[in-house]
Amino acid sequence: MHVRFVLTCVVVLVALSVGSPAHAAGGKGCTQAELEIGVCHITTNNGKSVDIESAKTVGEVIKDHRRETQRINDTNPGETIYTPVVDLRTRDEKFADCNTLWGLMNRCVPPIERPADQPAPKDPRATQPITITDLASFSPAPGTLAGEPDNLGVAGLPTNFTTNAAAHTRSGTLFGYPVTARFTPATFVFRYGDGQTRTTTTAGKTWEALRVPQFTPTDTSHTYAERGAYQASVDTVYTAEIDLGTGYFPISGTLTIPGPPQSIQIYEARTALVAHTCDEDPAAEGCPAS
Amino acid sequence: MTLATSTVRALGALSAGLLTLGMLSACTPTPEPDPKPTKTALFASDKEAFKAAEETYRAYLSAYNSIDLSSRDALEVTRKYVTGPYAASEREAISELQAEKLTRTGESVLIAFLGEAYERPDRIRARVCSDVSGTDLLDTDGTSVVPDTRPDRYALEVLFEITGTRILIAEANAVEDSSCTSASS
Repeated sequence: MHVRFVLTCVVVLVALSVGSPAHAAGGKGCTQAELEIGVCHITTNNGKSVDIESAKTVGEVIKDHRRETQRINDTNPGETIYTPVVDLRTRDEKFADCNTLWGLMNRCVPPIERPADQPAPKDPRATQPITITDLASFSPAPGTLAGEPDNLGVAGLPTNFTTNAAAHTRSGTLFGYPVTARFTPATFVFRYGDGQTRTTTTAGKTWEALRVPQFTPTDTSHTYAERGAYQASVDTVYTAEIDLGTGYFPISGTLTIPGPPQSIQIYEARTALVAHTCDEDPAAEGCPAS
Repeated sequence: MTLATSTVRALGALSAGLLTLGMLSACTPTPEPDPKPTKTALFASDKEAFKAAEETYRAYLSAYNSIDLSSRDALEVTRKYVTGPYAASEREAISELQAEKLTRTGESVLIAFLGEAYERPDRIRARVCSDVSGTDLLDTDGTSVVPDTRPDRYALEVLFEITGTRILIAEANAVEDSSCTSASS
């Protein structure tokens, strides 16, 4: 057991001596930056012992420099430092002081409360009000018109119209700020091409969507009096909201975006009494096979 | 000591076991040792290693001399030359200089490079003598923050580490070396 103990101790001693690298000398190292600012630990070898010169960190050197600069400024006799005299008392304090001294003579007038100057708002909305016309450059989508059935119609019978205009967003810059604008159709002005217009708040629905038979009058339908080709169109009246990164807020006013013309053919329907249906007599006038 | 004693006991038992195992396996054919990639030294001679290390150090110093502390990339300039504790310390020091908005002027000059040891396979030690007297660090007022006590020259014990085919500065310690301070540049 005694021999084992001695052995263990030897092992521990060896381990300790190996664990301390001679070259590192305990210094924390020295980079080029530290060399240049003069904060390096210098290891000196005096015989067997190793000394490390005490050194500062980069931050400490800079702090010392500041302190030194301050000290020179404070004590430099050749330089006079002019300090502006500023009365730091508030209006109330001044009044109180004044009243103490002069109150008996009724010379002091209490300060009038005035609203503080409004700080200049940084929000571009406030510095430069954004109007709806500024947003015209964002070119909201024009609504296209579709006549039903298939851009055809019959004089004297309602032709149904729908438009595809819907709410959408556009991104761009306004006064140098990135802006997202959301355009929502508020009203639609259907221009039927025969001089008649109709303003609606609906974009219109197909007969099928409305679940009504063809040629049923709808909120957007129009009945042409005469046959012919008409150039119909729809103006979409948009309201706008913009987002400058803090959420949408509305812009007053509306933007009217005219849609492209759509050619509508209106036919004349004639009625005639016939002896047979087209199924019975496909070759009869007006039947498919004729 | 109880722990140490039991450790020795355990070691003893283990070695006895290994010995028995060795005796047993003596009768069986020795299996071919698995081919393991051995680390071969990158440089054939010390001279080559020292030359490569010196080139690295010169390149590093040249890169450092080009540092613009006001640039965001200042920390990246020397990155490919440094590693380990040196890289960490340097990053910290440069960050501090940047935080204080200091401006660096002038150039550090390598006066001497002396290879000391090529510890195969991946370490090179060298003594470097560097002159920093031409450099200055100025605060925002243009006043130097360098203390008067800064030596003009430093002798450094530099440890390089070889990683793949690259030599990187891993450690540097300033040492006293009168031959550096008196050497002619």
